[in-house]
Amino acid sequence: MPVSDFPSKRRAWSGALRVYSHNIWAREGDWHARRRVLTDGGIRALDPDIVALQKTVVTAGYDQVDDLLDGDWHVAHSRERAADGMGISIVSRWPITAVYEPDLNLSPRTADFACTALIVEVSAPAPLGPLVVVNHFPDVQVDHERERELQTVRVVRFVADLLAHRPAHVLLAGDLDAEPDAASLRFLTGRQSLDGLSVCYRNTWDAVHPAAPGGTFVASNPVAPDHWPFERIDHILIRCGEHGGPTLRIEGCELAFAEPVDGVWASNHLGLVADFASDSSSGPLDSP
Amino acid sequence: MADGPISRRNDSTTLRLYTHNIWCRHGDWDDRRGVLRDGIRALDPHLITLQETVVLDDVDQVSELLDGYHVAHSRKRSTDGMGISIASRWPIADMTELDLDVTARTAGFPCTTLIATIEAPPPFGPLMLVNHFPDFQVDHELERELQTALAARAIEHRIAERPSHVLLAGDLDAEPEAASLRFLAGRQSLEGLSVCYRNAWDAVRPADPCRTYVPENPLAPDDWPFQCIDHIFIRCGPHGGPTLRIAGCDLAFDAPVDGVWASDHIGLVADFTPDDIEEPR
Repeated sequence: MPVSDFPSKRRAWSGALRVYSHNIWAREGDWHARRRVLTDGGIRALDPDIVALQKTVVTAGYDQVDDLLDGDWHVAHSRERAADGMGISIVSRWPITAVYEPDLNLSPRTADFACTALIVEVSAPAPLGPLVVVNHFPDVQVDHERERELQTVRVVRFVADLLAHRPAHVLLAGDLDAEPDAASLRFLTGRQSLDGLSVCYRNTWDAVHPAAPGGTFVASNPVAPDHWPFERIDHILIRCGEHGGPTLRIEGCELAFAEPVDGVWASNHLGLVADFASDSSSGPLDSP
Repeated sequence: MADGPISRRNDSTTLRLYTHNIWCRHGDWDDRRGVLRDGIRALDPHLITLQETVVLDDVDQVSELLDGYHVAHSRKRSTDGMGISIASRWPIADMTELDLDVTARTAGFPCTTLIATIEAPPPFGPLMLVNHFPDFQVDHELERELQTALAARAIEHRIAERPSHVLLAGDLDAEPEAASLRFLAGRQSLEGLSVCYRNAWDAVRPADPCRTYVPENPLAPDDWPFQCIDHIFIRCGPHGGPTLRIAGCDLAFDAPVDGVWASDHIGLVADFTPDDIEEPR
C-alpha cells in the first residue's frame, strides 16, 4: 500500500513498537529520485522505532543512512562491507547499548559477498525492553541455501547465548534471500531442525496475512530482475516464548514502498513494516 | 460437529478412529465431561487415542468418559497424572511404550508413544494402533523429528515380524509442513529412514487445512504459531496406497455445545473401509 495510507501507529500509547526493514539497493539506479521517495512522505510518515536496512553504503566520506534519516537516531553499521561500502545498518529511536557482528563467512563460497548480521541490544522502555534486534543478511546467491542455513544457525545460536544471560524480546528482520519454504526459513519458524538445533520465531506476515503471497522482490517492480526464482525474501520475525506465542503481540504487518511514486520505485526490494504491542495477552519473557 | 457423511458409523465394514487431546481436567471439567461423553457416544468410534488424560491412584479420567471399551494408559505421566491413553472396542492384545527422551530438553513433559496390537476381526485385523505424543514446545521440532523417527522405526521392526494395518494418531504438535510430519507423509527422510503414511485428512479434504488448535476456541491460546497439529495417519503398503481405504475424515467437537467447548483442542475422526487392492503386507 502507499506509505501515505499506512495505518498510523498508536503513538499516544507507549506500548506500541513499529519495525521497518528494507533493502535499499545501495545507490543503484536513480538514487536522487529514489532518495526523495524514501525520505519525503516515506520513512518519516512511517515513523518507525526500529529500522533494519540492507545494502546501505557507508564509506570514509559518505553515510547513506545519514542521507535518509534526519532527527535523533541511534545508528549501528556493519563493519563487514563490500569494496564499494555496501553493508547493513540498524537505526533505533532508543539507545543502542551493545553491538555484535558474528562472522558469517562460513564456507569458501561466502568470500565475494558482504554477508553479515548485526545484533544489537536496545534500551527500549519497558515493557518493550529489553530488546534484541537482529538485522540478518545471509548470502544472496540463489544456489547458496547451504550457506544461508549455516549462517542462520550461527545467528540464532548467538542470540540464544545472549538470552541465556539476559532475557529479552528478539526481533529478527532483514533480506533473508530465502522464501518461507526454504530450510533456513523453516528452521527459523520451528518447522525443522538444523545442525541439531530447533527454535521458533513467528513470521509477522504469516500471523497477519496467512494466505497472501507477500512478495518483496517481485518482477512487477521494473528495477527488480524479472527472472529471480524467489520473491518473498524479506521478513520480520519475532521470537516465541515459553508460552508458545511471540513475546510481543503482532499488531500488523504490511508491505511498504510497494508502488512507484511519480513513476519512481523506492528500491528493487519492497520494504516491510510490522507493528508490535506489549499487553497482557503477550507472554512473559523466559526466565534466565 | 461431523454432520457430514461420517456423522454416524454406518455399518460393520467401517472402522472408526477418534483422536483428541482432552486438556486434562482444566477449565470447567464437569461441563466438558458431559459434552465429551455425549459426543463420543454419538460418534461411536471403535478406536480412540486420547492425549492429556489424567490417571492417578484414585482418578481415571478415561473411565469417566467411556463405557464398553478396553483401555490402556501410558505409564509415563507428569506429576499431576497427565499422559495418554488408548481405548478399543476390541481387546488390546499387547501394548508397548516407547522412551521418547531423546535429548536433555525432553525432561519435564511426558512425551511418549503407545503401540498397541488390537484384536480386531477381519478384515481390519491384524491391526496396530499408535498414539504418538511428542514434545509440544514450539521450539522443539528437533525433538519431534527424533521422536517421530524413533516411533516409525519401532513400528517398522514390528511390521517386519508381523504385517498389520497401522493407524497412527495423536497430537503431533506440528503442522504438515514441519519436518516430523513431512517424514511421516513420505516427503523427506530423517535419521536415515523414510516411511510413508497417508494423512487421512489430506486424502479426503486436500484443499482445506486441518485446523484443530485455533484461536476461535476460547480455551486455546490466541497466538500459538501452529494450528493444524492433530492428525490421523494410516501406513501405506507396498502397492503405494494406505492398506485400508480412507472413507472419511472430519473434525469433532469443533463447536461449543450450549456454550461449552469440549477441550482446547478440536478432535478428529476418520473412517476406514477394507480395500480390495491388497492385504496388509
